[in-house]
Amino acid sequence: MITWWSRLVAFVRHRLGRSRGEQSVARELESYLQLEIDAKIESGLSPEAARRAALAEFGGIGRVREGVRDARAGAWVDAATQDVRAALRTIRRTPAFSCAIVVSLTIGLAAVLAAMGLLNGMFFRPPSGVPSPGDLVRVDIEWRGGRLTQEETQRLTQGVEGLSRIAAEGSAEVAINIAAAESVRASLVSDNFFDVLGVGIAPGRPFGSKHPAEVAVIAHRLWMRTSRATRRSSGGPCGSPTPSCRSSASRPRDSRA
Amino acid sequence: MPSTKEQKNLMRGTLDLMILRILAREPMHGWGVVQRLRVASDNVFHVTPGSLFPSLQRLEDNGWISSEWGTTENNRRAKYYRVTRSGRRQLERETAHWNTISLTVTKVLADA
Repeated sequence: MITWWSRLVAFVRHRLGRSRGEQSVARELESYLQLEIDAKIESGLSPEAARRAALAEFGGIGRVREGVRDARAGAWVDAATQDVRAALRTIRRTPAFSCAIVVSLTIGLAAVLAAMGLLNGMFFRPPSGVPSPGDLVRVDIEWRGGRLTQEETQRLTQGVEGLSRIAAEGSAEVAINIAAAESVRASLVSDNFFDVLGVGIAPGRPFGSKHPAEVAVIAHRLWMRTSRATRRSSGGPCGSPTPSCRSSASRPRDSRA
Repeated sequence: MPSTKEQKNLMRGTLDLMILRILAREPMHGWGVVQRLRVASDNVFHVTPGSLFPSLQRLEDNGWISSEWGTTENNRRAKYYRVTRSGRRQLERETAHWNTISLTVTKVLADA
């Protein structure tokens, strides 16, 4: 804490009295050199030889001054300022080349950001509307034995430790309007799917135990689109705007995980 | 005796520690520090101005040493450095740390 405070004070002192500080360093280095020359003269060298030897041992006054500058508190501010100045000078001198670099960097960064956003949306972002996504775990299973039955799904709960409930989800292309050859990508889910997710259904009823295989929950956007289309063709929607609208393709008895 | 390269690789923190120790005995200018270090290390450590002055600058910016201009025995002007109170505390901490490290390394080298 004290060190940080001291460094902050030193930083302000260096910024405010930069030329005075440089002069002080120059004087100190000259003084060091003079003391070294005196010592060499005392050891028997001539003044010229002593100065030459002292300068050779010193190793370059400019380099030492640069080293002191780099060791100062907040030296990175000076370095950053110099870098920015150099960059601005380069931009002014070669605008076309600089523009090409900026455009390349922009395209590159945009591509990376888009890819990361897509990955985040697909794999990392919790499902929307789920009240406690931290409690959800997604288990992907490579199942080679055809469709997973309800019983097999339940048996997974016993096989995997730490999971209180398990819901299955697969996907398939289902027809929603055979006459117009229209189909949508649907999720085939177990009847406890919304219970496990903790998601409620806006209007209508969720999967019940009576005829779960005949129930489809449709998204609001899909319902709006299909109802408009049906109104145009036959004068009425396919059913109520409920999630329990019976689908033209009934849900298979077994779901695939 | 260590080679020039080894001397260059003398750890920065170790140099700071040795400078603090030398200045803790009495206020001294940079040239005096180099001579004292040379004598105390039996002519092993030859610290160049390129290592000494950045180190002094670091120590001063950290508030561990302070400086003021004075006159040497030969009537030359020189900047004298002295250890501050927080510098003495830092010296104690760093000495204890160094002792632990060096004892441990010595033990490992002897026993392993």
